[in-house]
Amino acid sequence: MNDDFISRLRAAPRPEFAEALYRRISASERPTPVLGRSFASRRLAWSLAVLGLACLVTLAAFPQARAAVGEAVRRIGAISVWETAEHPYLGGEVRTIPEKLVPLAEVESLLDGRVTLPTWVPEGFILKDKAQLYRDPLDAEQWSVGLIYEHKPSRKTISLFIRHLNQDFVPTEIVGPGSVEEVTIKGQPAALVRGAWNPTTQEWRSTGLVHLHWAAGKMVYQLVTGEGAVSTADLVRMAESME
Amino acid sequence: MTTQPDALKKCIGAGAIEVDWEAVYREHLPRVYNFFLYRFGDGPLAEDLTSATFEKAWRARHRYRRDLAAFSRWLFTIARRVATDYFREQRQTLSLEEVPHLSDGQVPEESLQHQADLARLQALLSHLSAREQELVALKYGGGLTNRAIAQLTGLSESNVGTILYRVVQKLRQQWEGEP
Repeated sequence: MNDDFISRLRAAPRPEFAEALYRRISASERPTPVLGRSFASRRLAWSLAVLGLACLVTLAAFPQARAAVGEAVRRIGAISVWETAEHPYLGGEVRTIPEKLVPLAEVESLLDGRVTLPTWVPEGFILKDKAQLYRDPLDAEQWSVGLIYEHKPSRKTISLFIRHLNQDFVPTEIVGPGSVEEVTIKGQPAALVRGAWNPTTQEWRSTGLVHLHWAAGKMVYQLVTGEGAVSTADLVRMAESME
Repeated sequence: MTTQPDALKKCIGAGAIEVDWEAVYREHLPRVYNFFLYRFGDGPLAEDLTSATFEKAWRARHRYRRDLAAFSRWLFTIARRVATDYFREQRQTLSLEEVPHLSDGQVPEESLQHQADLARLQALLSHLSAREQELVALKYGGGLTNRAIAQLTGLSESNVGTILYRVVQKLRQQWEGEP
């Protein structure tokens, strides 16, 4: 059946339409974020990581921004935490960037020589074969990867975000008030945070997620899991098994 | 083009499924958009109805059951309802004169000849019956197989094939006979 002439009517949706619709849908209602239970939770964690990277870049790029937050920032080891009730994101509307899933091998080659992935993880958690990758479109040396360790029977996950910053400064994590506890990783101070920013409303939720932040050189690390999914000691042990 | 739910990821409980929404969106947006484009011949309207379809699908995503239907079938069931609702609201069918054409600025890289071809094909499609228009839209806009169309419409697969064959023959005669 020669039907080629009918197929000529096909057209690609306008990119701006496709992008706007995706943004609108992504920003609509989400289930309560309990990491490891839903796609939306992983998105939230990823958004959190990207948002964090954006904040770090912003703080790095604008000295006046660093000065403005100077009094509110607390140093913990190689990172700083800025506790605030209102998310001070300087870029206006928060845009959820769709995660780009890439084969694990691509991320491993990116990390090669810089980071050794955890040699210990809580029992039953297995590294997924796809990883999230975000590259700063303006600077190839600034990137963030997200690795997911999944416990299939319980559907709980632990996400490991590794960011490489092409800036020489102390990374600052912006968190809700009273959410930070200082712990140590291989004897070095690290920040254990309970809660997460809602990337849509920019409000801090004090429950749902637990994340562990630490940094070394230009590498910034974050382990994120659902509240109660694994113990704090296990998160620290997992972090300590990295090199 | 596959009609299998390649983008689908995880099973949740008995049959309910979690959807990789980004992959679903990337794969199905052009198909749903073209379904409406073929159905109504109007780019802006196709965008509006595509938006309505994906917003409904997003809100109902937890009710999708892989054991009951392929994802594309589920999504096009929603798209057909959106089209039906639109017709109901309009309470009229578009006449030939009312069929909008792609605007010149919509696809700037297209040649004038190509745009003229599109307008002419849209005019020919507008003469088809509502059922024929829908089958053409599902087949050539949505990229569905005859089997998937049969499941959606309640027709037999052979009926779908026969109707589409006749429609294409008729359209081709008109296409080649009316330069």
